[in-house]
Amino acid sequence: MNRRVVITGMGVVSPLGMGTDALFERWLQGEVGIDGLFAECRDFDGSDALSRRDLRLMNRYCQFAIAAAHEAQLQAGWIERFPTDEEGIACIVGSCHAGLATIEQQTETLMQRGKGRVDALAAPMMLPDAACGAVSIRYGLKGPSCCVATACAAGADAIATAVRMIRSGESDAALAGGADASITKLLDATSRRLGATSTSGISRPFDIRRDGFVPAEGAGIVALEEMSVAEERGAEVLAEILGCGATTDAYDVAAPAPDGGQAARAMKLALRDAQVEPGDVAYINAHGTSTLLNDKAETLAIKTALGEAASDIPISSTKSAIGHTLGAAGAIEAITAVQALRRGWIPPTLGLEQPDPELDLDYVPGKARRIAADPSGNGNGDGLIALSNSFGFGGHNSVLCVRAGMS
Amino acid sequence: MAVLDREQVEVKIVETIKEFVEDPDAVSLDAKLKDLDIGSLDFVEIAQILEDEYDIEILGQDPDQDPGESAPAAEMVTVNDSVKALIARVEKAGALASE
Repeated sequence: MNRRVVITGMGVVSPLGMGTDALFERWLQGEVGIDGLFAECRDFDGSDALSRRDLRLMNRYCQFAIAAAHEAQLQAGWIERFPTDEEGIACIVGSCHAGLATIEQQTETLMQRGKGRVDALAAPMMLPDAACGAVSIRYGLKGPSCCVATACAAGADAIATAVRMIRSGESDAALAGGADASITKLLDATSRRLGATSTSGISRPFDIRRDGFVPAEGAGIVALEEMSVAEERGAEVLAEILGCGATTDAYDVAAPAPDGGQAARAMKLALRDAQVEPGDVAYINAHGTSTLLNDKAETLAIKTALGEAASDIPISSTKSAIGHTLGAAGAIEAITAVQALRRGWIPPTLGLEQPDPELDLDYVPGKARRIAADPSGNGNGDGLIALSNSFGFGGHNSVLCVRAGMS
Repeated sequence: MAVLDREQVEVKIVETIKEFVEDPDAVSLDAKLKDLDIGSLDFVEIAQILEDEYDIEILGQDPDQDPGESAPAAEMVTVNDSVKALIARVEKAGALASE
């Protein structure tokens, strides 16, 4: 039996505000959530949804994950009633740096005040699975749970992991996505010395002046269900996850393979899994980090994977609006891809004013654009199709293929 | 090191628990920790608050102790159980006045 996986709820915490709509609407209007050299979630107030106890016992990225998971479940109708028993619901939350902020703070305490003043609560807060644990405890999810740690591909890989679990019958539903809140002194220092982050504070993917990514924080979580489960309870299906593709560069820890070969293969695998052709793709949400290497390799990857269709497909980068949310990025960007299809609008690649002559695809510079209703001309009665690319340090390439009808 | 009065520390523990819970009126010595949504990490945090308040060190006293052993779930059921466990730690640290 072919089990299909659909999205029934989406939640986002981002530097452009609380919620999926805030992010999408503000990005569509050309707003940028970057302030200085970073993009922080300044609208986030944990006390809105979390108890004093939660705020004490969870670090910031866990709080983000809870907030995003809550929004996703509200939309899905899970707050009133789960779609299945709690043992059938998985919880997969990826992260890149997870409890790094806690590690830094407590290392400073240890060095300055001694071990007797180290926070005993730091041990569980430092764990990579802290957000996953926090979400599952908060909502009583008793299916399989884990943290996916594939650097900046973690959010997408978490969703893909959940999709595979549901397809296999291991679970019938899942909360899945990513969270990160690691704008810290240590990470900033090492990233700058590595030359990965922007010195201008401008995220402008595919622009010839691009000078690195802008560190950001946030979370994105989706509520996933096996299609028949969603249909039986009359849930609104926001999108279907048609395909997932994952590969590894096996090339370099920090740099992408220059030819984008394995990134291209991940895109091809996602299309094959989805059983769609390149010409069916209406939109690509690029990884688009605004680094010299990524944007070039990703452009080559898109051309390799999609062939002649590549030049006709609009591509934009969420990171142009909110910077790089690291382990959350893949999930947030999959959500914005779904939003683009449902609204019929492609948000722009902001900051792209001086195109790099070597990067010659359609990156939707500066201004939002109406989506082509039927890019393949084959009717597309079931909705439009988008790809969401995510790549991470370590050479991880993860691509999601989603389909959604205009709402 | 401060020499502390047992009753004073007990009151501090109960008052701290009241600050942690949604309904402070529900806190009594007989109240169940589970009903108050007090978990293992809360216990550790109360211990840290006592450390800061009285300038004592009561966590990590026993190098062989597994961190999980401080969890109230297994042995501690009521508020009184956690008060006793914390008082025992303060006593072990030599900070309580002899009776």
